[in-house]
Amino acid sequence: MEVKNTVSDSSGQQLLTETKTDSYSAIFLYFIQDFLRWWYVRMPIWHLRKLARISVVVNDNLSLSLLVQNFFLPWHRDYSMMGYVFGLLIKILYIPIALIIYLTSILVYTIIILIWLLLPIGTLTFIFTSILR
Amino acid sequence: MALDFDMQEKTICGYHKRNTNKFGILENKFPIFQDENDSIFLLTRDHFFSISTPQITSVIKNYLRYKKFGDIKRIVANILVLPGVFIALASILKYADLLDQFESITEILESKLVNVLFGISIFNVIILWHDFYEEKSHPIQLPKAKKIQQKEIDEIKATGFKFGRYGHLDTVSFASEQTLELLCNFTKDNQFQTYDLFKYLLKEDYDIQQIVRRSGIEMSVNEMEEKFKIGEDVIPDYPITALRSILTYAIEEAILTESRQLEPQHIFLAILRLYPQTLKYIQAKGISIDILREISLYNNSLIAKAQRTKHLDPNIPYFNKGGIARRWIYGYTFILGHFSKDLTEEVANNRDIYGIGHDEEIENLVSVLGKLSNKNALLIGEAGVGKSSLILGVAQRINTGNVPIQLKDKRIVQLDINGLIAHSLKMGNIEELIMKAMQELENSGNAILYIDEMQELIPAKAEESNHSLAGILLPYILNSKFPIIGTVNYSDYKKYFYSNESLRQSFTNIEVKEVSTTDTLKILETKIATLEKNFNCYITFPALVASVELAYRYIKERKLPSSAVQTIEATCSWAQSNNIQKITAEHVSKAISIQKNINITDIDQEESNKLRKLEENIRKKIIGQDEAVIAITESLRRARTDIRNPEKPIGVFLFMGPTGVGKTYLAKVVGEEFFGNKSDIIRVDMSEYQDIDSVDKFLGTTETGNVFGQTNITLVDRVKSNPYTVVLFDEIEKANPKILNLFLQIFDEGRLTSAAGETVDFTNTIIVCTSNIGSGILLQALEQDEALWGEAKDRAMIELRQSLSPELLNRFDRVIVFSPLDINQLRNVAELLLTELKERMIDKGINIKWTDQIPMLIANKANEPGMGARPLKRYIQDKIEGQIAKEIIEGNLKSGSEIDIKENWII
Repeated sequence: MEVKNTVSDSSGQQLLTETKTDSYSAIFLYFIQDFLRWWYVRMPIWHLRKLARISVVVNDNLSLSLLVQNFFLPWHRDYSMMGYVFGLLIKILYIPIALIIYLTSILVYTIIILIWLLLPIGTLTFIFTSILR
Repeated sequence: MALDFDMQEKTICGYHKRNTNKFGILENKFPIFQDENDSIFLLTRDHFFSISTPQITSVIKNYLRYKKFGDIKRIVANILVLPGVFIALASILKYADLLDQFESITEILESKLVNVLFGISIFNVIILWHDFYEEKSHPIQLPKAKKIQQKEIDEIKATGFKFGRYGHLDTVSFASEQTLELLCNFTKDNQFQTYDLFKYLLKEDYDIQQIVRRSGIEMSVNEMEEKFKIGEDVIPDYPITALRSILTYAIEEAILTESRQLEPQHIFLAILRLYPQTLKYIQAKGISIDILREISLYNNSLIAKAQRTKHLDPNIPYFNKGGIARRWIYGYTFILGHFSKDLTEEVANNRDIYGIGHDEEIENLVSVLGKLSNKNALLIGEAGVGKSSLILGVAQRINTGNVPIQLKDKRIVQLDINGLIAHSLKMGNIEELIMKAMQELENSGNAILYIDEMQELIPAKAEESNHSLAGILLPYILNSKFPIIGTVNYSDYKKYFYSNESLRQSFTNIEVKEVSTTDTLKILETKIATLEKNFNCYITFPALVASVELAYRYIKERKLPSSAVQTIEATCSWAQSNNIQKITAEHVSKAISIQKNINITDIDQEESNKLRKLEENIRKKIIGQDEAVIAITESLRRARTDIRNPEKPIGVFLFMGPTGVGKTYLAKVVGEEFFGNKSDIIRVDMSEYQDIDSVDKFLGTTETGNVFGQTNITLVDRVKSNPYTVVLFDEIEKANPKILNLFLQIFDEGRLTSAAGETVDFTNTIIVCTSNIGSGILLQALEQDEALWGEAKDRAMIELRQSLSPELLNRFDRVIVFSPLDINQLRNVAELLLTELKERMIDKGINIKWTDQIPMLIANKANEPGMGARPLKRYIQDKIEGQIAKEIIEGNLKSGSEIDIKENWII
């Protein structure tokens, strides 16, 4: 079985003089393709990864999951009545606040992603509607 | 021991010849393939990199056009953004009612044109955003190369390359913008101007200048051209097809230095190693390509370190740490806090990297601490191997979250034993204090107790109950409610833990070995910034390499990395007090030379003359023993030029022969000529070590003392304090055979383990043994007929072989039988002795003179066959010194006067 030699496959090899130079219009087209691919494919994926990272970092820094998992653990493991009561009280006060911060940060970034997606289209629409008005 | 920079076996360069369809590996060869039918590629463990001529030609033809388009786009976008900025500003002012007076401006702001301009401006911001962030959001990164296993290399050699198992990557796609631009700019008329590029990089590239600066050398084009004849004929221009080879070698450099992209510095490094003349140039400067790579690797590690703190970057791994409320779910440790410190918190506040070179031990420790039962660990290792650093490395991993779930949020608390004892004096009962602290630890749920130098707990006792602290802690150690980490060295482990079954069983032992030289270098690299800041100096890489190599070789009493760290710190301190800003390898040698009282600096002109004339100078003082003088001077020259085996003594000699011919005196003269001071030689009379108990005395047990109760200074102490000297073992045949067995270790490995368990280093000593074996035979031959001397020598050697074991005899570099002195030689000895007397008298202001006949007269009168030069000494003492003393007493000889030695004094 003949295996294609990816290392030194002779197809497509050209001398310097035979290689064509891209024209400026080709470069312009390439730029548009590159821009659209970056803005609408690669960056939304990157934003989603960033959103996931933000949710992890905010959750971790606010100790949200940790406190929920240890909700009934007394304050500083003081297994007296005071420890249990105080522990519950602090968590009941703290967890909603942390949750609000957590959800707000996710919501804000989701809005940022939506703005990101709409920005070029919105700008072009704005330009055209301004011209046509 | 030369440093291994650990860069081998990460890459394989291969080639393919299409005409013969032959694949091969390029081992230590760097050909430039110019023929289109020959290809070159690079293999790592997981990827292979290829490059083709069309890719290169496409870059050269188009890159500059794309770049020009990009520049124009950027300029136009920047210009088109400006109207939007003004419109935005004006709109803000309008909404703030600050433009009410300027109706024309408010009218313009409401016009269609302004809206269009604003829209275009926003669009250009988007374009600039794309331009700026495209590379930042999706950085091109070369993959990290791991070591290729030897069996894989063997498989490739046997059965060929299997490209299907590797990920294919294009070399060109990893080239940075600067690299691409350089490729375009230095290609003219289908020729790549290699030498011009090389010169340009050396003069203009900032990264290369930083690397060269850190290497401590100066590289200049003029010097290369004039002195080393490096020019276009050495580094020629190549056709475009040859760029495939150059870029492949360059990307190999990029991979070895863990760079993100193929940068111009990698092309520079590739060119340096491609040509023997350029390699020779840097070797002449005292550095190697490995050092330049290591510097590049260090620079890249600084960049990577800066990036590690970007938590929100999805390209960088993130580990959960627990957050602001993580301590709420764990118990307090108020009492413990008075005599402990939180290592996890300490480590979080500084950016050093800990535990380098102990990855395996850290993994072991983490797995032990994460167990459900028996989670105590005992780290056993010599002082200075990095046990504490290992623990801090675990603390660092806990901080970054890079640990199993059982160890998340844990903190390592180091118990301060002295602080505990001090605190107990205030609080009262130490036993109660410990119990309360342990209960706190148990309750906290997140603490790991760390006890450094755990053996100190055993002798320490509680005053009230007289229980040892270890006994009080034992139940907690056995119950394993919380993990405990202890550290101890080998001898204390054997002494305190091995015999105690319950203690031994409750710990998992983890042996901590000495860090390798490669890892020690990495540890020193992490300390560069701190040292430079504290000592206001600049540390070159050769200085770091020298610290590691010389510490490993000369500082045997401490292990790596501690010895190397202390060496570089001592060098920085010494340099600071001598106003030296740039620290080089020479300064490290100097610092060690001062510290260890040995000379390991480079040979300067003065010393070179001294070494050349060494034999001549020694012969002036030792008459007639040329064989011995030549043997010793050769070993000294080998030692000083560092050619000898560094793991053995400089030389090991056995001198036999009649008495008074210079055996002991030669050792003294060598000590004076080479080591600087005659009285510094260590002389051991082996007749003092005849019985079996003297082995302890030889090994330096501390129980030996004199009648006044003072501890005797032993051989071990003397060699430790003066390791660069002559050690003279007189009359070795009288020593107990057990002591002669110790010599086997000294002669072969240059070390002796003392009674206290310390290793004493003999590798910088010359060992001279003297023996009277066969002296009867030799004396008899001299008395009968000097012509029988040759036969007598042979018989003496036979007797030697019968008296000493073959394995001991085999370890001597040379066994030399000293010849008897003939009358002319005795005359020369007499001349020498008179010269010594003259020098002594000059100190008193008296000048002694003698005629040429006097020395021969003395030799004739004092000669006793078989007795050597000692009779001459006694004769001069009696006849000449006695006479001079008489003259002085009678007042005939005062300071400033002269005296002639008369013949009648002698006859």
